[in-house]
Amino acid sequence: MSTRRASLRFYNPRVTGPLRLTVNGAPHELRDAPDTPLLEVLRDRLGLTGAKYGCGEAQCGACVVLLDGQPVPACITTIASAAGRAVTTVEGLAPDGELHPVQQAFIEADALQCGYCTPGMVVAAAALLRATPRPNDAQIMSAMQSHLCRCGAYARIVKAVHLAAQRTAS
Amino acid sequence: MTPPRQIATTPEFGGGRATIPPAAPSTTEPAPNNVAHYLSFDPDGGVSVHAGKAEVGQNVRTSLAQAVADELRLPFERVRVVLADTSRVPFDRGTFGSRSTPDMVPRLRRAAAAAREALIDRAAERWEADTSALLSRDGSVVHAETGQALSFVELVPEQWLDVPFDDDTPLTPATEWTVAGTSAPKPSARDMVAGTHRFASDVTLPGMLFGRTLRAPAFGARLESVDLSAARAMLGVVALHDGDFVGVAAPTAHLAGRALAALRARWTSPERRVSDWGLYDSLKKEEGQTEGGRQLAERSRQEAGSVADALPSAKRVLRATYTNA
Repeated sequence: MSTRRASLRFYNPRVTGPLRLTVNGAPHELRDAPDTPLLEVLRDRLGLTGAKYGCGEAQCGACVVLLDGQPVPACITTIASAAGRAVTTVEGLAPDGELHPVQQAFIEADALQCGYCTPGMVVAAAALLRATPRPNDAQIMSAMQSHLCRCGAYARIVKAVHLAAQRTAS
Repeated sequence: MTPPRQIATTPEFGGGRATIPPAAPSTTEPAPNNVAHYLSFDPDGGVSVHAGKAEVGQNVRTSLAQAVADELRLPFERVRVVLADTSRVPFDRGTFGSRSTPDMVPRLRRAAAAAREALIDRAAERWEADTSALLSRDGSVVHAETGQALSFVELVPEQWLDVPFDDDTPLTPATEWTVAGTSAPKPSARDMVAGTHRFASDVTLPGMLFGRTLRAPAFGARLESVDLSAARAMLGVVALHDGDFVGVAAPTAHLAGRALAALRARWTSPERRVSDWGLYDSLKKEEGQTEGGRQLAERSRQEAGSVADALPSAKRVLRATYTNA
């Protein structure tokens, strides 16, 4: 069972008692098993269904969220490994309803079709631009290569990241 | 004749119920052919399109709305699309084979064209005017000479038009389309980038369980025995065994995964070993060995022209083998 193998990788048996983590700025106390996937807590417990379950094996990128600003696949990230850290989901990019420049650029560049991979793509692109405000094509592709888009919108996704970069880096 | 069914109109656009003719719930019967199956005239002046198609990234919401907007002469923004909800849409065989545009667009165009003519007829009756002076514009039927206007809402207060259409219902020629063929913003894009668009997997219901099935370790392996007790001992877990099928369900997906991992199954080891490696050769070998295999091979073989003749005159030759196994 790959999910089982994956969760063992992150499982820290020394963690006991409730786990505390921050999601989009709000503190949460969890009493779930420490090897519970972060994705499950986000989606089924906290109702944050933006991050998607795709493959469950960290191969598709649909579940990507930020952990202390770094993109991680939430499907194989245990809540134990997220304890004490700040989780940002796609919902957290636009907390007051005003879209993040990456989200706006995805709309304008028509960088989505079915939209299932989009939350993960958007989150990864936002993290990329924080670290690299003006990425070139190679840097964008490198940052986004672990994200699969079955509709094949890749060229427009690269275009959208460039568009967001132009607007935010000045 | 099946009795007419009651259909709830979209609650977010005014609710209410209306009686519409029954849709044909069979693959052999012709597609539903009444305007009331497809279009509702909503109290706010918009029109809702009901189609049994699913939006799976082909942007069918846009193309279907465009077709209806064109025929009704209604602004694109005032057309809503209700898809896939089988309690609200007419029967459809499904979304497959790139058929949504070639099948559903002409059907909706015919429904909308028939609706437009019926609306014009209703207005002509009210005004005792000749239909030739009337046209549909911007959500109303207007009289070209007097300037009189009746909105769709005034003309169809019951929201549904019981008007049949068929393959001969005249359509607007493509050269006169004003909406289809133009770029339109994706209706659900904002929700999708914000993560608030709800996909089927985002819907949870009270008491819902998450299921996992046990897969055979090899192609052709048969289940010899399975011990469900460890899985069943887990709180809230259901485990089922029927023939070679074994499945578990649990209140969370994670617990379902643990329950699945706790199953102790013994499988036969098939003599014929097929894996990802060598799958093509294995299939190829079997192709000629069964009557079904021979028929399938015959059906899927397509030849046109001559590769041997064309190769010498090709400017550039690339050689590679592609298989889909």
